[in-house]
Amino acid sequence: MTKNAIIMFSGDFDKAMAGMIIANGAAAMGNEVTVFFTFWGLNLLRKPGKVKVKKTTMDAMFGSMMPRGPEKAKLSKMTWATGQMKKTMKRKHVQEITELMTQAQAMGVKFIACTMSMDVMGIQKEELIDGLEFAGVATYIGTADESTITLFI
Amino acid sequence: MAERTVDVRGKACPQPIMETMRAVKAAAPGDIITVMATDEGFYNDIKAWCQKTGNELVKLEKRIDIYVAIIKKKEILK
Repeated sequence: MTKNAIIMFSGDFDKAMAGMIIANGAAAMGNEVTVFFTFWGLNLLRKPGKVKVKKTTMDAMFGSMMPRGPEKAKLSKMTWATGQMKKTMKRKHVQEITELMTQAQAMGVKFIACTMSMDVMGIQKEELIDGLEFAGVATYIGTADESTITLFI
Repeated sequence: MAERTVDVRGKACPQPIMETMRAVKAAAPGDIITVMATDEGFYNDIKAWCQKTGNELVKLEKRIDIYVAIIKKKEILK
């Protein structure tokens, strides 16, 4: 089966939309798709509510300043217009970011969280959505080596 | 041989392809699936999708304001 590997490095709303639309489209084409969430992209995997976990002061501070989940993500440009953009998208019947992510997982798209980034950003497994795998660069290279498409978003 | 209709008029990318995929997956080999879409990209997307998945694009046409694709399911989708 054709494989595709996407690195979701950015946590920006627009870039997440692009990444998820490509992931869904690739899955619909019958491809085996893996999305690696790393650095800012990890925030897209966070649960919307605050999760009680033990953290250092620095980790807790970092965590509270970063968006919890895709609904909190902002546009990479014209950040002030994020709300307006979402309204426009809704009016034009574009799927919502959370829906695209759930749909991707339901289609069998594999979501992998980068453990090194999690450690650096002080994000723990309990704070992230269900259905994830946890891995590092070797897993990405292993998949990317066999993939016909790899993207860094 | 059964027939199915997928109505994705008004829906944006990637929904037309996603819903087509679901309908074709649920169909039996030889079934006819008719898709109605308004998304401009659908015209090229459905050609690419059929070519990639091996399903036959029997007919693809642009009517006044909609695209209509008729797909014949070839084999079971993996």
